[in-house]
Amino acid sequence: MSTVSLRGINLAFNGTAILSQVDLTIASGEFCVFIGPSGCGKSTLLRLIAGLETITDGEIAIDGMRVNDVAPAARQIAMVFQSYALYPHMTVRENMAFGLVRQKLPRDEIAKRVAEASRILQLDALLERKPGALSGGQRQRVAIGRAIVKQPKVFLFDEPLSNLDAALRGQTRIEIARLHRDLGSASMIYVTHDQVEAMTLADKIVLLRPIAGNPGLPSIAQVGSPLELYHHPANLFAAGFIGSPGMNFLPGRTLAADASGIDAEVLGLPCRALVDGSGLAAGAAVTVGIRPEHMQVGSGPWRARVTHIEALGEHSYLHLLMPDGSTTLQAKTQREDVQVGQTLPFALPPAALHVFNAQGDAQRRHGRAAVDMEAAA
Amino acid sequence: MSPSVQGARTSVGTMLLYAGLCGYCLLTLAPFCWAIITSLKTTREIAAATALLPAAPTLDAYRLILHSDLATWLRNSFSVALAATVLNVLFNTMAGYALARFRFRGRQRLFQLLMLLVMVPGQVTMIPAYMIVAQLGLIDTHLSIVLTSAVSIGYIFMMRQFFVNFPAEIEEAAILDGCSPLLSFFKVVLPMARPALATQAVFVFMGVWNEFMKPLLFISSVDQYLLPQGLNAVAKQFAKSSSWNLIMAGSLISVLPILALYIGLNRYFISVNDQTSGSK
Repeated sequence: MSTVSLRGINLAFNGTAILSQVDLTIASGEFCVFIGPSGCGKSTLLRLIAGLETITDGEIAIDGMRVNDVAPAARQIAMVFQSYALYPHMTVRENMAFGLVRQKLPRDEIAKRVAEASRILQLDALLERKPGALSGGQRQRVAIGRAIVKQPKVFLFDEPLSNLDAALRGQTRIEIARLHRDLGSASMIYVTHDQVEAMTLADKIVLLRPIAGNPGLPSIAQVGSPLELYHHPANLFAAGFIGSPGMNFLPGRTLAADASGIDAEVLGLPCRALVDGSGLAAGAAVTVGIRPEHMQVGSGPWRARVTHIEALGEHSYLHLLMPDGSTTLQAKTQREDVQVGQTLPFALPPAALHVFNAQGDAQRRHGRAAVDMEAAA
Repeated sequence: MSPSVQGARTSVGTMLLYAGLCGYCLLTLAPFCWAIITSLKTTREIAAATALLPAAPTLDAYRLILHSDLATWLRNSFSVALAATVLNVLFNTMAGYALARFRFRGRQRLFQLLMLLVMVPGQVTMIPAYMIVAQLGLIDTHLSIVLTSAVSIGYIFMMRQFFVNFPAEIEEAAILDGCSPLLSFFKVVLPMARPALATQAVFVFMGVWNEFMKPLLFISSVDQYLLPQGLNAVAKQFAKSSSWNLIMAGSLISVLPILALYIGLNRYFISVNDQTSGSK
């Protein structure tokens, strides 16, 4: 068992709020990713769990045991740092064994654990080298190995892949996923700003937002599975952060709303969104959102001028400027005949629209846009 | 500009640079060369001052000086410099670490005070230091030199700056591995601070080895003399009789330990700072 629970965590540095009202439970064996923009407190939250920062308000428990006042080494956690944090004057073997020696484990037990971890991570040939003689990917594996040998209840990863090149990042990501499967009941808490890592690794994503200057705003914007955050973002922040490129936001005005859908005026034209309109009155200001990949370019009642094209080979992203001269959108297309300066029609499929009320909270969507889009086609 | 003109200009510039460096090198080495040559001459050759090079180089000056109290003075200087160096490295490093890493009230004020004290010349504190040493009954002992040289504010500052830039994550990893702050300091931080420690050790040793004012102030017995003090006494004794060969022999012998230390620890000055080899 390795549940982690955080209750009522609040943290401020020099009067600036960093974390507010963090209440969260990470189930045993779960791979939980903390994601958010810079300054949202995700690394700070991880460090609070590790015991590297002092909790002033709230409670952290690991397997039901309150650990607020427990030393980091006694919390049965292991951490992999962004910069690897290997001891440069020790060999790989000594790096991995160092924590176990401090725990006064028998020598043969230490040797056995180091051998097992090096086998899993393919470090056997590197055990007598020092970190200075290793590549970035190798150092990262040693850092993971140093965590594995401790057999912790909770693994903490603080942006472990951010210093690797793209190819190595992809490869190491798969290794981490495999490790999670192989290690069974240990929970993993992973901090990243990379959405691909979050979407591909997580069982659960915790989306954090910066709260400086917003007293009373909870740090956690949304908690859910990757697809839940993608298809059903709970608020404007979640909708704008998840997805790359981000969701297009259009100001709108409610024309009519009921449980089956919302009719709104967007960019001067009416459109319908298949979301629960309960609680919205006619005339209410709303924000309508649509992901670039769901915009139907080539036909439709709206028209926009192409100002920029990002051609990525398989598809392109079109930057569109509305006639009002200020509203910009991005649309994904596989068309290769589009030119900059061209005016294109586009449509906003009802099943693909997200609607956010004046407070920024999402109206509940009836179903996944992709499924409904395919059904409509 | 054509490549040939640019190449020619580079060659002239490089030649001028090398010429300047050679000239500086000659100027620096000239006194040493003169000292070596003089130490190999007889007193008659020195008094005659007719030739630059010795007619028949001899090691008599070295034999004579080594049979004097020089060996005792060498031992004295070595033990005092070694003790002072060990204490300096230990205290300066721990003080620098505390100032860089620990959060305590008054930390910034303490650091500022230390920086102010750097500006106080040693000559100002000589008399109070003598009074304290006298009250402790340490006059004419080596402890008077060791204790008054046990800490150096300049090197506290150097180590503080070193630890400010030290990767904190490595220490955090040590904490997570179960190290107390003291254990982390000795097992993780100090081994990684070898270049800084070596730099400190060399310069502190050199400073104490070459120290003249403090031994002159605190030590009066001939058998307790440190090397600079002893050589000064020899110089006064033999200067009128042109026995510069003895004085030069003594001076050259006194330089040898410093040279050996510098050569031995030189690799730490020029090695790549190993702090980041365990990191990204």
